Amino acid sequence: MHPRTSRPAAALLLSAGLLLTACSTGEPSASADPAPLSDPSRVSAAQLVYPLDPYKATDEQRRALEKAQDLLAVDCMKRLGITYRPAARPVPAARSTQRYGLTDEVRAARYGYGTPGYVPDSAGPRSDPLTPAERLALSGPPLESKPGGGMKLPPRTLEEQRRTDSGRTVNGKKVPAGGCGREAHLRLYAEKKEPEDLLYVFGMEGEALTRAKASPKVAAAVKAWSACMAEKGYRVTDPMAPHKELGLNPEGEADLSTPKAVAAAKQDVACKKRVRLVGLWYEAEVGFQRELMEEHAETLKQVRTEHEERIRKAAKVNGN
Amino acid sequence: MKSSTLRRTLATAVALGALGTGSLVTAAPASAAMKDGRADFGEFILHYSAGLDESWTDFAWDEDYLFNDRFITPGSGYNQAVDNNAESYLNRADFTWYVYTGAVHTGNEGWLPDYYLGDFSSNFKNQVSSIYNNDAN
Repeated sequence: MHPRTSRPAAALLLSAGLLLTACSTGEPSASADPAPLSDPSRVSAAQLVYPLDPYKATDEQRRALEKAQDLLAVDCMKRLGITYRPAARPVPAARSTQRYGLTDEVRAARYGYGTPGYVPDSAGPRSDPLTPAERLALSGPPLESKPGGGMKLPPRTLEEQRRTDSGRTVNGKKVPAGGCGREAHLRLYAEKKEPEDLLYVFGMEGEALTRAKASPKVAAAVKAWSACMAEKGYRVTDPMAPHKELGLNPEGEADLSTPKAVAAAKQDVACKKRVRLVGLWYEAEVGFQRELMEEHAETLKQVRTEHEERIRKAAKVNGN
Repeated sequence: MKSSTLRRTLATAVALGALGTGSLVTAAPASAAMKDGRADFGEFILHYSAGLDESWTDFAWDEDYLFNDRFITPGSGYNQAVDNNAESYLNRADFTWYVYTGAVHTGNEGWLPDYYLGDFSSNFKNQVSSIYNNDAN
């Protein structure tokens, strides 16, 4: 992660130049290998494979990292004389399979725009199972504001944390700056130096997804989808999240599975199929991902190296 | 793509005054149940500028549409929409938060471990339009 206060002018010009190059046709450049990794006509959107996938943590790796961080937090809390039992982490509801919005006809017919297995958050303030002292030990004191806005940053590396005095103690022991939670994070992710931003690949994926959506073939397919939806009286322009345009309240999960929502969802999926939206979008996205990967090869290499090191560290902590 | 230079020239800071230790009380929108300008445990915080700088807002629960939300604390970016407009973030929770480039958990997904803070890369458009947590509630 690179602290920054402004974007270097050269990077802006370079970005502008590259943007102009990509935008002159709006399609990925011819130099990018055009062959996609999956055949969208044969697999579901959830099964599509992307060039950036190897640079992302799998669900299994994410769980291993979460477990390791919990164990490190337990270790730190023990040092402060506290027996800490992290809450069990539930398996997330299937959310990430809607890259292009709803595309699963079985799900549409059964749940409309609802999410299978989704448990809505409770209303009202979040409850804290820890005592004030335990919470102080785990999360550290409140973050201080800066005059004029923003927050004072907690330590960015373990080395920095060890040099920083939080000014707080629990059971006569010094609370690490940022708390044991922050210490656990730094022990796994940033012992000596800050890693590349953990959302770097996410950002690159988002860039590719957006460029692909704006590319001529995909933009035409989105228009065609919209026209198809209009055949049944639905005035929508956003194939990813048409909920509001459809008059559905996404914050009321029950509203997303009504007969009205199911009818719209079924038409949504059918229209995407008819105009081949997912296939076209996927092909363009793969092309743009490859371009971006070439452009940012050095950073990606660093991202992968750091990720592999982190996974090894987590395995050690987890006793694997 | 956002321009940090443009942001630096924006005169949108509102002199409500920080109360020193993160106990900021601002005029939050009526629907902002937990968006109170306090970076409490369990919350996910999105900042207008890099380095946890300038205006920010705090989220305790899932948010399907970040375009309904505003940066609420003093600083540049105050009262601007949060959607696709944050440059840094803080996960002040002991559980994972998920971010999505599209509203209602569509688009591509990213995840942030407990107690992580970071800056969105300046190389790409910053697109976070919905957020979800993975807590036991």
